[in-house]
Amino acid sequence: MDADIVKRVQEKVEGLTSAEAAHLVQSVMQSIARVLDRADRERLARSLPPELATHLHTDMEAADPLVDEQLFVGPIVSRLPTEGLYDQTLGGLDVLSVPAGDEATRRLRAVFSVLKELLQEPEKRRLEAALPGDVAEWYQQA
Amino acid sequence: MSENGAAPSGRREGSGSRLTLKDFANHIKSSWCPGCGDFGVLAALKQALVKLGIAPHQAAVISGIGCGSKIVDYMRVNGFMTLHGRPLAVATGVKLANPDLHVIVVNGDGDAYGIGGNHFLHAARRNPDITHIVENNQIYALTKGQYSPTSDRGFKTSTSPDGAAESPVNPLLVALAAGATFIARSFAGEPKHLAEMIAAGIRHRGYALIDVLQPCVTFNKVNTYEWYAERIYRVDEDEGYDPADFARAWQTAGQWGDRIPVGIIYQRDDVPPYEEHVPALKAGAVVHRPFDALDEERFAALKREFM
Ligand SMILES: Cc1ncc(C[n+]2csc(CCOP(=O)(O)OP(=O)(O)O)c2C)c(N)n1
Ligand code: SF4
Ligand SMILES: [Mg+2]
Repeated sequence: MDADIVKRVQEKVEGLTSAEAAHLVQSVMQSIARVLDRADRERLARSLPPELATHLHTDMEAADPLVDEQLFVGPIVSRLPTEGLYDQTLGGLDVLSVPAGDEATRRLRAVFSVLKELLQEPEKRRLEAALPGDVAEWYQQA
Repeated sequence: MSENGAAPSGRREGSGSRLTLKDFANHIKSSWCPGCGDFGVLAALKQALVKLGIAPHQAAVISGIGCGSKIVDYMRVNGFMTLHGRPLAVATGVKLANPDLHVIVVNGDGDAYGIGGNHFLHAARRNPDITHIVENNQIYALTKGQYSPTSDRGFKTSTSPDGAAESPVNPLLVALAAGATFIARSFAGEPKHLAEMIAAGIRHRGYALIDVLQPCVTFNKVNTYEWYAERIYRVDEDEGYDPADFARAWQTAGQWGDRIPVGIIYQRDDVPPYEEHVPALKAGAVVHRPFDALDEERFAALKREFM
């Protein structure tokens, strides 16, 4: 992964190692790939540095219309620590699992923000239009 | 062959041709963790029902206990959350009482292949017209992460601190050996494909198993979206793959690890469903029999017989 992209993500998400940042970027690119048709994927890939574009590769012809915000962030949550200590003041929930969803969207927004820095206006808008549900909103906020 | 690669089964579909996903939505807020693969199963199940034109009142979703079993709460449909491991038994009763209903069981791997393993074997052998969707996250998730019957050898959890010592259950092989007439697998991270598999399972006349690779993002940090996505391949991409070929299905179902097959692994359409063999149903479904035939005298006689 391009060191500059990794560094930019690290600047936006405090405490991430470079390996974690690289992995985060990869997960987000793979989620994006699942919501784009082949032609859109290929167009987006042409607008990005090859190290990023490579993660858009999938054999899928068409976007999966059932991929929603939950499935979009799933791969990011998988990488977060979610087992720390059960806390009775949280109704017996784990102190790390409770904020995992918010942390995942925070990290997702960081990658989106780097992507927006890299893309030209028309590509930015095209990508936003393809993002499902809340994901489009997180993209706007990034 | 249908678009899913399955042989046509002749099963009639529902009557609600103008249905949308919204018809299956309710106001209950899910307690699943953000990013859970169960969201993919819920979306795919609704999509399959819409595609087949099956309205909420024409289907019954029966579940057990576990994270995945909460699905019944999150959709507008006839539903019954039963005991841990027991949904297939309850579903068989539902199907016998009202064969017109599309009966769908949804439960976790612990529920289906562990505590409910006995029912799994006998449902496969009996062939009731039930679609069985198993959210296989290879862990007991609701109870906070103990190893399950499908956990891979060496998988570390609170109940397997040194790594699971035993070999996992291969549900596809078990179902094949037990005589199941439809066996498929899909991935919750590819809900469109999953919806196709569920629709094919519902169309199939008889017991249909759909084993779903379902990432648990909180307690299973090994079998993640990425882990599954890197390994799965579609059997129907091999032009020569014939789901009616038992020997080929056996060999394919046995694959696990670096390559995991998804799609319709096995299907045969020549076995009539269990309901058709039940003599008591020859006079018609229980739900269609008039209540008024049960007058006071007959009711008293019935009570005497059972008390
Ligand atoms: C008879 C009985 N035994 C044990 C339990 C405790 N229990 C509840 S859910 C569960 C395991 C759930 O695992 P699985 O079926 O794989 O569902 P998941 O939570 O992973 O979706 C267990 C052991 C119970 N509720 N009832
Ligand atoms: S614990 Fe796992 S299976 Fe249960 S809701 Fe959370 S991610 Fe899903
Ligand atoms: Mg489970």
